[in-house]
Amino acid sequence: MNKPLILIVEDDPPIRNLISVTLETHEYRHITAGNAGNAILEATSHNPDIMLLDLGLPDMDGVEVIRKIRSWSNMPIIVISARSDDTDKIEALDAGADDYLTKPFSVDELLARLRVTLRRLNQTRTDSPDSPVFINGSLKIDFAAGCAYISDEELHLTPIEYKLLCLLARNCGKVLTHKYITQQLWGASWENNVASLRVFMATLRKKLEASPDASMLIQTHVGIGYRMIRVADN
Amino acid sequence: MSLQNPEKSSVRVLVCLSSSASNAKVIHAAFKIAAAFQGTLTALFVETPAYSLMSDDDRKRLRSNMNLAEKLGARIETVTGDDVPYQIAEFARMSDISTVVIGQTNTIGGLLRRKKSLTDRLVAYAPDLDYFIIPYYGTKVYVARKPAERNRKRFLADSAIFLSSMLVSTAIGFLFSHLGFTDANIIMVYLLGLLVVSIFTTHRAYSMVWAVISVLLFDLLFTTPRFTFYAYGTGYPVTFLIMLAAAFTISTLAIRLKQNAGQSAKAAQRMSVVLDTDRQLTKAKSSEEILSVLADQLTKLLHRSLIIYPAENDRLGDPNFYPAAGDTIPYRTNEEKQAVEWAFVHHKRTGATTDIFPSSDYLYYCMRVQEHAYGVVGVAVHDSPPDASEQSVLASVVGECSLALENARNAREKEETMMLAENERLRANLLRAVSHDLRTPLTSIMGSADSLMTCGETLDPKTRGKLYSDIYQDAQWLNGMVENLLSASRMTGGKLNLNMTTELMEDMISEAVTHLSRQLKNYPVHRTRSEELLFVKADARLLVQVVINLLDNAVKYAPEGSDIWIDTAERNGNVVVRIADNGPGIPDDQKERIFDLFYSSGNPTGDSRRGLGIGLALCQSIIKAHDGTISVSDHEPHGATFEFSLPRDEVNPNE
Repeated sequence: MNKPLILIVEDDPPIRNLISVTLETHEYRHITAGNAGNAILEATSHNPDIMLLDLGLPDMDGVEVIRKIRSWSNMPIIVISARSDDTDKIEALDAGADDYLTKPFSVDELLARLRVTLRRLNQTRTDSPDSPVFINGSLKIDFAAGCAYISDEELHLTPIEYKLLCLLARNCGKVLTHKYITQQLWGASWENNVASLRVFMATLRKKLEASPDASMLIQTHVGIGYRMIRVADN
Repeated sequence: MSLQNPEKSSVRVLVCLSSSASNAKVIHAAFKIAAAFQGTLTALFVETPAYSLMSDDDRKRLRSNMNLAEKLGARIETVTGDDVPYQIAEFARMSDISTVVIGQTNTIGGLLRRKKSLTDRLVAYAPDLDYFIIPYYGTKVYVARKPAERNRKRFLADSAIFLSSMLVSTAIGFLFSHLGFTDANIIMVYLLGLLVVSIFTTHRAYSMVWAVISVLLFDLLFTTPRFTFYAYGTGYPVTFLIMLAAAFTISTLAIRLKQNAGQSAKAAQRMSVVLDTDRQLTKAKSSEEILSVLADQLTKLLHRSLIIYPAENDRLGDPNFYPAAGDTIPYRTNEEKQAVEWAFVHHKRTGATTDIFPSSDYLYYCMRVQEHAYGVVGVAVHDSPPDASEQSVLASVVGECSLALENARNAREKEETMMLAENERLRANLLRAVSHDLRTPLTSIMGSADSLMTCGETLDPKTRGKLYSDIYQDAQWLNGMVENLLSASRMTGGKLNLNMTTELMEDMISEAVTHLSRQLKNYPVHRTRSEELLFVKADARLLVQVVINLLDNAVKYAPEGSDIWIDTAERNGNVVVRIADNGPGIPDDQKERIFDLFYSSGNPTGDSRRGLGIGLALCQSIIKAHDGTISVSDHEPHGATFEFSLPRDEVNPNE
């Protein structure tokens, strides 16, 4: 595969520079934009593989940029937020962002997020969209049969747990907000049913953790949501 | 010139209110006198027993006189009593009145049927006051009059009592005479009957008629010759006269006794309501409590519907309605609303019985202290206006409540000011501490970066590596600092700023451990999890910060390679988290102060980089805001143990 192209949208020159240098040293191709207008222009003209988007831009709210991009493209968007408040991240994720980084972030963290996203990108390119079977490391879900397996051993899941697992699997690699998950599981009227979600998530994880290589499959993002991690194939 | 006018406080003018039309003239005169002396004006109404017999017209006039006096800035007072001048004199003495303005007619009417004029008697009672006598002529002075239709029923009842007691007395008289008792016994029986009549009938005419008839009956039936009005005994004319005199005296005394009893009962009830209000108001703290006391007391006193509009930020809020038994919630017409608004803006009484919006159904009082209005109280009038003494008690209860509201507001303001001052002090301390302590790592970062930029090539790799890691660590310290300051700034807004959700304790601990993974690299972490799912209601960010601070504390004070234990357990309905290390531990004398703001152990000179002393203080305030507890103890054989506990949250999941 070609070297992936990454669009960096960041108005602060030192941080833009830091990200550029990091990407260069790790052999990613990149283009940069200092404001939302340029970002959309670059995105349309170069069609990058991944977008790193700072939420605090001078000319437009970052969430607005996500909405605009999402109207025509599914490119993975990783938002970078300086605000310590979670609400803007949640808003960005609900608007269609895939992942987030909070400033200050370490170079390792940035690279890890990029790797996760690229892995997901490659997977979705190879998988046919409505493949009847989902495989991620030792986890296998047979959508047609309605069964899930860990290391070929069937998991005994309640209907809600199964639904939850499928939801995470279908959005593997993406951070799903509590709001999004509860809406998908129970419908819009149960939007604030986060407490129930935690219970089912806890029981589901307990069942997954029975197998050591599936224990880290689901990540918790405190105050934000959950994500299933794409495990590297080997 | 701010010299106090010596006259100002010394002249207190009293004007007497009456139902007469010319009373207005007297009130105006009193107002002018009070204004001339820059004194205060008090308007007094003496409620006599004859008051209950007053006609509706007179009541209306009395009310308009009261309104006039109030409009002119007079304090309205009502006293109850039989003897008008005595009551005025007493009131003047009690209220430290210096000047009395009184109207005098050329005729003395029924109310004052004594020979001497009211003024003369008043002067006799209180000779040391100044008097202004305002003459008026040709005015109607109130004479007690009995509206016929109101009393038809009462007339029947009274007549029945009259006739039956006469029959019984006469029957007993016959019995006594048959048994041969002396005349004196029979006279006593008649006098006893008279007593009954004067107490149980409503008008003294009955007793008077009874007095005459009893003498005649006695003469007719029991003196020889019987059944004639002649009497042979030489002493009988005297007996008749004495009997008549005794009868009149007894009836007068009995009637007065009855009236006094009624008045004192009423006065006592009102007094007890006022006292009760006072007592309850001292207990009430918030304005809601004060208003509910007001509503309670006025309902008890007046048995009328009430409507109370509390004021919020100098605007009238939504009204609360307190219906009396059998009354309905009023339809608030535009006029009622305007009357309320007027009362609130102009600090005046409006609505029924006043000149302003007189056709409204309610009488509105403004609750105010000086220039500040605290709301409006409306009293249902429904065509039966409250009488003078009711109005006076009403005014005093409303006044008491306004004062209480003012006190409550003052207390609140004082508290707010104190809190503001406390916040200000904390902020100043924090700023000083921050600006001082941030300089240390910044100096190190700038210095290290500078060295690397200017002479990076000449340094050996080991030194260079040390400089790089110093920069990184100091930046990390600053970042932790900023996280704490952000959390602290969210805490200052109190509980309201917390974003409480149901969280799994283990998730938050994992988040904290992940966050500190770099620092914890050389500190083996041992976690013990509870088998159960332990949920707490918490602000996730802040609670993660607590765990981060506690772990960070362990890393800071325990040498590299020390173990860290994190246990979660359920104990008595609480989720308990224990974070322990096997470092050197905390000396006992420091344990008490360790949660204090700006306290940092091992930091006597204040220039070490170990901490700002806000980390643990922040932990404590976050845990407290979550209704939890935090404590520190020793770890065996050495080390420190921090333990916090939060109420466990039960979750019943929806399938």
